[in-house]
Amino acid sequence: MLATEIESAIATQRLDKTYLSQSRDGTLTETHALSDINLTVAPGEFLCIIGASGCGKSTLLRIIAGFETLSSGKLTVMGKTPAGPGPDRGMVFQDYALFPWLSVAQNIAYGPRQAGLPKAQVAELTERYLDLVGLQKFRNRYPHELSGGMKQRVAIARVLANDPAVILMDEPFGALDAITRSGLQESLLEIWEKARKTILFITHSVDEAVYLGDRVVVLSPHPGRLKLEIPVGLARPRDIASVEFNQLKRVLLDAIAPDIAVEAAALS
Amino acid sequence: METFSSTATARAADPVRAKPVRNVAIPGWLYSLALPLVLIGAWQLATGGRSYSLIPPPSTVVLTAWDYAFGGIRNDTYSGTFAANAMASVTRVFGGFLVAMLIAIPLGLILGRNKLARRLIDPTLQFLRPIPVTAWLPLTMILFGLGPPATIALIALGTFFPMLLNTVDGVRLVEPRLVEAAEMLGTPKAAIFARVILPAASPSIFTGIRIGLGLAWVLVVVGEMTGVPTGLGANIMDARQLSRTDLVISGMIYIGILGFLSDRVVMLIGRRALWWNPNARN
Repeated sequence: MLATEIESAIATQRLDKTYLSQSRDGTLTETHALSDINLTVAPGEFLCIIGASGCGKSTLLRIIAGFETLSSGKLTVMGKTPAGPGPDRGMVFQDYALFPWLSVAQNIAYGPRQAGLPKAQVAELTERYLDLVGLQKFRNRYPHELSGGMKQRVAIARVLANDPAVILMDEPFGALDAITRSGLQESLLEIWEKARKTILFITHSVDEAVYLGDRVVVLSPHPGRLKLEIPVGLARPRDIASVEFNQLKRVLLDAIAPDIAVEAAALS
Repeated sequence: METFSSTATARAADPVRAKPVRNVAIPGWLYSLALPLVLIGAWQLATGGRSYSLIPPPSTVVLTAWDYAFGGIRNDTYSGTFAANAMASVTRVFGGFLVAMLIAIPLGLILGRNKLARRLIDPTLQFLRPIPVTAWLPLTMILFGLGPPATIALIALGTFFPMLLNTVDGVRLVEPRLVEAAEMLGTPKAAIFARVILPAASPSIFTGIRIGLGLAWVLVVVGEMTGVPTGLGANIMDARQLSRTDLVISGMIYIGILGFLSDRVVMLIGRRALWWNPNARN
């Protein structure tokens, strides 16, 4: 298997990101978004990134996705430096970003079609991922006819149909209610266990990070840097009421607390 | 406690009791007809049965409208001429509208996508846009002569801007996320426009088309009022000079019907093509 030959699915070395932004009076200010990020994600790993807002977690994901460029340092995905966005790195957005003019089935078939696969294979992939996310019954619906949870299932299926090396998820369940959210967490774990994809998952919920991740990374803001990295050595399914679970939560909350305090002070 | 809970129950039950289920279903078109019937009734009361009225009663208008369409009642110059005149107007409306659409939509797509094109052309367009299209009438008559071509030019000019601006906006306001989603799903750069920008902008483009077509019906009357012998607008102007107010009103009603029908046709096309868009459904 290829996965065992390459030791990292995603690797960043001394990754740095600064960008210039123009304020209203025309002066340019330089924002240091990410500083000296050294991160390795193993093939098949489920890595969660958490951090206070403005810690650059979304920027990091967008750089890996190829939507933004890095300022210095190195990024490799499956051993190669990616040039721009591509189907090897599937992205699941918080706001779904489904194509509203395509039905559920057509949204899922979109990626395989771009890859120029023969019709029969596109159809087969569409069926497989419709089944996987449990949306067969809704295959001919359009995005505006779906609930938020169903939309996010389509977005996940759409990315999986492209058989990406890594799946990047940017607070994918952040806009969903608690019950839908936990249903999707279960489904995602199930899918991940079946497909064994590398997942890089951003969340602002410590609970979600500890529940889902093999490992949790904390980013701290201004500039965004890696603050803490802890493996979650708990067997799945995880008991969110267990002592071990809550001990891990405590460690992570303590790591984030000063950043949140700074944010609160800045706001008041 | 006892009282509180009992009032709460009563209140909860209230809405059900207050709204008895109506068994007799009134069809929607009956509601739509209520106001016109009241207005026509008032009009008849105000004008009917008089020896002299500047505005004829609806009964006279109905007879004229029938005669205008089919002949056989008044046997004057206008009897049975509706079809030919309506055809002339419809041709001008769609002629001008199509000319404008064929220029406005491609140009709008280019302006929406290309910053250089926008910088070159947009200031001029922004300057020309606020000029009322009716102010162009003398100029179109000089450029295209007295007659139908000036009317078509006027319609094209007037419908051009709403279609152009809606296309530019539609393209510019495409959710960047959708483009990102398409990119990460492997869409070739050259295909982004056709596969994402165009479908995403289509509801806005369609809105421009609808506004444009509505405006075309306004402008055909304005255009036909000067030096055009045929068409519904020309008939209305001639009838005014002959003090045939009954014919003026008949012409107005027919233009209303034709404008309404053409909007319906465009709506049906739009609903079929854009039925994924919840905003295109009313």
